[in-house]
Amino acid sequence: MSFPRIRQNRGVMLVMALALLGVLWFMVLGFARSSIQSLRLANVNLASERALHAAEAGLVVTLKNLKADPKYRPPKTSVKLMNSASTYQVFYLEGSAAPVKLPTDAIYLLSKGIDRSGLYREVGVVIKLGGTSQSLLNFAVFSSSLSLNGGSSIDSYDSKVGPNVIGDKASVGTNSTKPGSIEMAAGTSIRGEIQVGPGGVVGDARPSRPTTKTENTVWKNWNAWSGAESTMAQVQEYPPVEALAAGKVDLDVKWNGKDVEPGAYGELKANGGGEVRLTGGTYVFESIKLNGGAKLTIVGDQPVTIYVKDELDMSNGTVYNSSETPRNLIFMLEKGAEAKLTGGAKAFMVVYGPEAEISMSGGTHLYGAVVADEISMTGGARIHYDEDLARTPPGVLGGGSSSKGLSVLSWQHL
Amino acid sequence: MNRPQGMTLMEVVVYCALLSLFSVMMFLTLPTRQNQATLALQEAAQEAAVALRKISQELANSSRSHVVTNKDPQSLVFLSAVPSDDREFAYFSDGAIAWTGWVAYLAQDGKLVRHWSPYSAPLAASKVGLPPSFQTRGGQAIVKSLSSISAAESAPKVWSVSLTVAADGSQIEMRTAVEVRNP
Repeated sequence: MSFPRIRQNRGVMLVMALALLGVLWFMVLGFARSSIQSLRLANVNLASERALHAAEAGLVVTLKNLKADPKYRPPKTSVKLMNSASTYQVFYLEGSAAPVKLPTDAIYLLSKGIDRSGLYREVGVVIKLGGTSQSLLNFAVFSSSLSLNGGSSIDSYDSKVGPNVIGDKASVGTNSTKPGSIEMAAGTSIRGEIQVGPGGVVGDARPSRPTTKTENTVWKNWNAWSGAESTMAQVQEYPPVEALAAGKVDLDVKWNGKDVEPGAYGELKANGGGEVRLTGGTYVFESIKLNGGAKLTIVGDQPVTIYVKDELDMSNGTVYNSSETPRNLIFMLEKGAEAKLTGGAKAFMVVYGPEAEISMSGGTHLYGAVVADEISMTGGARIHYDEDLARTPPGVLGGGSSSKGLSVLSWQHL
Repeated sequence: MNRPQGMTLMEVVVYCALLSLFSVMMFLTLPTRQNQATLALQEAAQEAAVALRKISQELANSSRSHVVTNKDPQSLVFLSAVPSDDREFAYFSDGAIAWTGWVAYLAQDGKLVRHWSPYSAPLAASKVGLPPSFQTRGGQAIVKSLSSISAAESAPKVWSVSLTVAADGSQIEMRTAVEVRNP
């Protein structure tokens, strides 16, 4: 009889359905687990960022307090951030207590930032107390020998404001004390101070009679004027440009122009109005010669550093820095290099060659700063010093970030 | 008299409820073409997020005057003072950081490959010169489905790095900003 079998089979569907339900639940749990892992990873990342920012906040506070008082020591307990559950603790370590072998007169600050989840990040900073490393571009022009002729002038502006507002902070400096290290012919001007080497002889900003052929370090002729003259307390150090190896490939750019990637090359020659286009990065050239209206164009707003070993001749060409920010184009002239600059309408650049010679002529307008061994300005050449270079020097010339009484040598996320 | 064969009302109700539940769950969880694409992209994005984090960490500890980007091949190259993440910097007696080599992230054959080129001895920043030319062999692939990598200095001391990954016809771009404090 089937009746008992039906009774026994009654409810089998429910069992089968429950079994299928169980299998599907395992599938769902598998996918859910993947999502949960992703969520956990995101939360860990967030906590890590919070902890890192807490650690950096602790360092900022400690550095600020150390600048104000070198005897300041951070508290030995954790400090809670305002409006946050994160905390930080800064350890002041010197000598053998530091986890690294420290430079002379340096200390190590280790800041530990802790998120509310307990996850922590550390930032280590090495600082030097008491010493100051100034920007290498505190002066509009710095050289052993400077001569201004033919109505040449030096003034300043602030690139944060714009090149059309002229200022009078274009300081000129020389370590030399020899008479006539700086010569200013009639009709030339320097809208800023002139500082000479320790022991040099200084005169008036606008002398009543020419100081040419006197013992003064600065010789001013009729109708030449500047800001106040003074002597520096100590000589200014300008590290030499380290010699880099040039490449073997010469570039000969014709009228159709060429894009040049960062790298080391031999001689760069451009003729016939050709445009040499450079993008951000570091270049090394044996020499650069622009002829026949050729143009050297910096494309984009990434910094370009150009090392020149022998000769930089732009007397028949122009430089165009599209970003109009001098710190984005830096010419580094190696020892013995010679540069002939012509700016065209507006050349925004920094020229750094403490052992090189530079001549500027023919209506050159250079926006930036110049450091060289010998500088000659003729024919109405003008240098417009960017005051922002002193506040925010380009990385390759800035050295450690600095402030009164404290110098940060390095900053590391651990 | 024989009882008619069949199911009780409760059994039918329970069966219908479970059937509808199964149907909804199967609709949501069975692998479909769209879910496969989403999953593939999610995996690629996770890989890129981890890579971006590693790049951020290394770049933050580099020197801002020694960061080089190229377009062909796409690459980000920068100076490194540590060969691994968990070591502190070393210094020369004058305070200069002892740089130990160059790190390069190259886009190679649809992958993001990390190369490490160490110096034989640590050098100060003024002596490091230009980065070496990295070979296209070797290195460690850290992202397997890369479309592009790009980096640019978006603000003074701040570099913006972006990775674009692709999977199953879709692309996703991930970006981060890194402050490079060392000169």
